[in-house]
Amino acid sequence: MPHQLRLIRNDVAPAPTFQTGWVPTVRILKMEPKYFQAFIESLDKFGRVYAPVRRNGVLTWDTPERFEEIVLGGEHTMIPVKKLFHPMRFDMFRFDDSGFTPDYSSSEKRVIVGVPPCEIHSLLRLDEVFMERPVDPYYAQQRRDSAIIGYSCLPGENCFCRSTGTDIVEEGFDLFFVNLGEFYLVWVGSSLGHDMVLVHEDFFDDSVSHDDIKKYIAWRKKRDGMFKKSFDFRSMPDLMELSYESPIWEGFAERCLSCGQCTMVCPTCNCYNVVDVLDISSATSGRRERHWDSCMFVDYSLVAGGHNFRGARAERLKLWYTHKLRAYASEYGKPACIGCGRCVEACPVDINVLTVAEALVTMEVPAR
Amino acid sequence: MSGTKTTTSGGESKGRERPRLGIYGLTGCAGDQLLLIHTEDHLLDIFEAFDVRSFVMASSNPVEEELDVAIVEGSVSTEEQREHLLEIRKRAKILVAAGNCATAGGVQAMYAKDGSFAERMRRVYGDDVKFVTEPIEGSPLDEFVTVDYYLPGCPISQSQVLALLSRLLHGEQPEPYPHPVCHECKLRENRCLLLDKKFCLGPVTLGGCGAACPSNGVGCTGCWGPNPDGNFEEHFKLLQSFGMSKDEIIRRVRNYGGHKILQYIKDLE
Repeated sequence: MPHQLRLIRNDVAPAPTFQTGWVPTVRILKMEPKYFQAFIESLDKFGRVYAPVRRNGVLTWDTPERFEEIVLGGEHTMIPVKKLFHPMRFDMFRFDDSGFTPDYSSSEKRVIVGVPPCEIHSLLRLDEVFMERPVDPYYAQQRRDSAIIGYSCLPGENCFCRSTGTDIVEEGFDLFFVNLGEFYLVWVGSSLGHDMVLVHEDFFDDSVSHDDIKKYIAWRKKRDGMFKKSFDFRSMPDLMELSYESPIWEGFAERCLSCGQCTMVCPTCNCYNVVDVLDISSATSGRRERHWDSCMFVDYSLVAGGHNFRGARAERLKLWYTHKLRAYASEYGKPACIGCGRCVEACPVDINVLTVAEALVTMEVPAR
Repeated sequence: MSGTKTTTSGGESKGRERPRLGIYGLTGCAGDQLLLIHTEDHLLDIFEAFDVRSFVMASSNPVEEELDVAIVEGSVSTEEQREHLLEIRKRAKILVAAGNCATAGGVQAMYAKDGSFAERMRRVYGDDVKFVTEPIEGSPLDEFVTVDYYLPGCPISQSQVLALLSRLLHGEQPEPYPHPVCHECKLRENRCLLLDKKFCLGPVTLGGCGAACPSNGVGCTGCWGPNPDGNFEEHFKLLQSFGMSKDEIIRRVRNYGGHKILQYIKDLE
């Protein structure tokens, strides 16, 4: 959804210019729904197709066996799309006497279909972390190798992306499909997206009328009215600053199970641990493994010499929320929460961005 | 272990002193020893890198002398085992407790220290029974000796065993893994059972099993022993809110919690 439409949501600050290879939107096309399946099926020319599919009853990013498996337009995956760029666990390299050999085998050409606006934002936030110098070569490779096909959605029970300004996207996609029922509006966001369109140019109609745009605006208004959750996001950095010594953190700490689920389901959490796995057969060879870590775990801030900066649960919680709602914003200009509501759904004891935000305002930990 | 004693790859190690390893079992199902012999892809490397002096599953001709590393499975359940353990400790530079029975006491320690041991013995075996060796209430190794490293699990994890052995072999420091089962459970993209108000001990149990039970829809039974960072008080409250009694929760955490769970529940019972 392009910059032309900022006039509708001009309360959202424009994204800082960021070079990831996306080109400014130049084209909006129209597609009849009858072509959608054939078009998606044609994308395997550009790489292996990934999409939200149900596995063991849980929606996840995986390779669909059939088009019908793909779930689009509302329900989000439990684990966000970050797992395709920042894998849960992989070998970075093997090492021996002569040096090290990087292992980029986990990267492949991919087309990721059905990425909702908030998750496109999450990838742009992760770019700020992983693509800044020094560039993370594993992430960068996966990012270069992946096409993003965005897809519009309607808010679920716990979505509050309108509060975080992540309900629309202006960059970060190759194609973006807005499902208006009787037709799709398709934004072309990159030259790769343009190439994809060219494969089946007959599916697309570039005469988007004023009426079509009016239908889109009406759809946007309808969607905006569907959000059930919201919070005053812009006051969070100041409230966090003022609440650093607040007793609410101890209150949340008494309840927190330190299970780490919030961090693993969060689309912008990106902490990992690096472990050298030594070979039994040789004193000098082995492999370096990288896997997701969580600041909710007790050894996260443990350093050499045995000192733990955040041994206490309250300190760990405070770190996470400070990072999400204040520190990230001061470093990158935007907070790290993209309003997807996954933490709301994942936490067994109701500690999430919304309850913490409420407590920051009322100075009381909300009842479970 | 000192660097000079460390073996290196292939032929280089021949003729050099390899660390001496002994693997022993006390009271348990022998599943941890079985896991060691089932390390298939790595078994030859282990036997190449270590001088395996005693391992009943590999050889019936043990050499019981000084050891660099002793791995002991099982709980101490008889006087004879206690003496055997003390004797292993004396000749081993490093002692590793392997598996839930050795680290916590195992299921045989589910009533640990509740004072009912003598009565339970009497009910099962009757009065006036002559034992070959005096029974002891099932206990983890560290009730009697100093344990240098713990490999929790039921059974232990192959990757954790290999990580420990390779670190010891190459003079590197093994690291603890104090994460709850939930870490691996989420990486396996399981829906949290607690959200559906189902019993699960994941948050208060040490990880390493790969979330074996929750991945099959069964709540964690706590067989890797307590996660020292677990928020037991809050987790018990959560389970009680599902309609379980506190007594039932305590009974369940004691199943595998053995001696090690006692410090975490002493103020909660």
